[in-house]
Amino acid sequence: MKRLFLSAGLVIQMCGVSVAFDDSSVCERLTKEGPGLYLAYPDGPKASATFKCEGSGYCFSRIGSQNLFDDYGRLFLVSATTPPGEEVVWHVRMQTRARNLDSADLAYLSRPTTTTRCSPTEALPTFPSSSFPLGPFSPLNDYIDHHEGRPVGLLTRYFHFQIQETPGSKRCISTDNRAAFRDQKNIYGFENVERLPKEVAQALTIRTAQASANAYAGLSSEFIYRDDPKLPCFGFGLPQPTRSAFLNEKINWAPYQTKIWIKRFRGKQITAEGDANGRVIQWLQ
Amino acid sequence: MSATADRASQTAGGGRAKTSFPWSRFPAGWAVESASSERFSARLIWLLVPIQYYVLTHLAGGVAVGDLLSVVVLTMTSFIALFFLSFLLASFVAWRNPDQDRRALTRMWMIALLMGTTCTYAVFALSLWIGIRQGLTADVVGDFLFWRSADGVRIPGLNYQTIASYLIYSSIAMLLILLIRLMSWRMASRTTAALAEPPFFVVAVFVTAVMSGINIFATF
Repeated sequence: MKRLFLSAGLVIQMCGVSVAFDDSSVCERLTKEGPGLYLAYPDGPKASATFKCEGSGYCFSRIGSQNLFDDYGRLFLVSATTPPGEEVVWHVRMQTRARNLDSADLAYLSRPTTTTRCSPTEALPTFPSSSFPLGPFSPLNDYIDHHEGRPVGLLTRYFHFQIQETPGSKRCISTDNRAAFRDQKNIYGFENVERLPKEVAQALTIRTAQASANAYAGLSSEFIYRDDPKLPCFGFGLPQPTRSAFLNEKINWAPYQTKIWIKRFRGKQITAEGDANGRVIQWLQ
Repeated sequence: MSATADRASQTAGGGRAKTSFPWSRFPAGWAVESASSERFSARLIWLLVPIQYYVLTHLAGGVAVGDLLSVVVLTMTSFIALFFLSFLLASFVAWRNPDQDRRALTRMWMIALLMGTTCTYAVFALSLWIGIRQGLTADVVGDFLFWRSADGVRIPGLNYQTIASYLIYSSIAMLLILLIRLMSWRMASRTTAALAEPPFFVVAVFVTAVMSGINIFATF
């Protein structure tokens, strides 16, 4: 009987919308379209006429003036070609405004959990629950502090990681090395997002409490790592709310605008990824 | 040297007596010797305000730069905590030694704890400055303890690493004060105060407690 239910469940899942699609197959297809920022959804009723659906389980479209927001969608960047034989590191930062939520107090962080050239035998560890009770969500003040000269050790250990100092070099540097990356506020910092007032300060002053509210409901900062990628392309999740009060709750998340910055690290050299750097994406529900 | 031995070498009339070097005692006796030395030592403790401002505004998760009011309140809180502890400790010493002037003891303990705190914060601020300049994950001791722990810990935070690192800083500060006393001992008269000076160990422990409390509170 148990097996019957299990089999039935699997059949239902197979018939339903496939929510997870393979980034590599999408990238392979998108690379043919040329460099740019794309949006892909699982093939289903939400895909509109502007999307290309080729029967491979997903539909895609280049980011346009209006874009349909879907929880199951993914963004893809097809970059200019990457030099062969090199490790490629991208950093993606997103700030999202929503109609029904403001003032994020957390930042969603992500980095590779694979081995890298600077950690060839040991995969990079994930956020430990003892230090990150909210998983990949870190307090916003910690994120701001760390990139404005007040080091937070946990972010050095679990968010930043070692990359080759120059392509092919045996020397490694951390992505938060302050000698190599001096202006970290500019590289990693969120635009127009201020440090939230401490409870001490909030209790003492009204000024800081009023000045603290930021207009963003979703803040994210992600590293993507590829070792000698065949395709200069990667996929990443759509913005999500980063407000602690609503973290584990089902809320009607209604984002309407995301500003995105994508930078590529080539050792200590950082370059902006064409039109994907500082680009504004408008969302439709 | 034990407290009994120290006291035995002191004159009964409250004056100063030639004796061996008091290794375990915080040099606070000179501060209550005269009105001028007391005024001088009382002024020295205001050094704590700018040093604490630097620390609290450079700690990860600390007070925002420019949030002067929060820093002033935290500094005043540390002053009040130190005064309260001085009163308790002096009362305890006076209860154990009824022959000693309770008011003078209280003033001496206040100066000992405030000077100890100022010196500890100064050492910590220097370490924090070096840590930030050198790209460490925290102050020098905190960085070492952070990497020694399996998963990494938040410093300052409610963990033993925070208290251990502050105890190290207060011990360094006590050592520096001891060195200054040793140098002045060789140059000036070799005498000790009539009152039982606070033991270094006790000052270090209470300074650590106050510093941990204030720094952790600043991150809330």
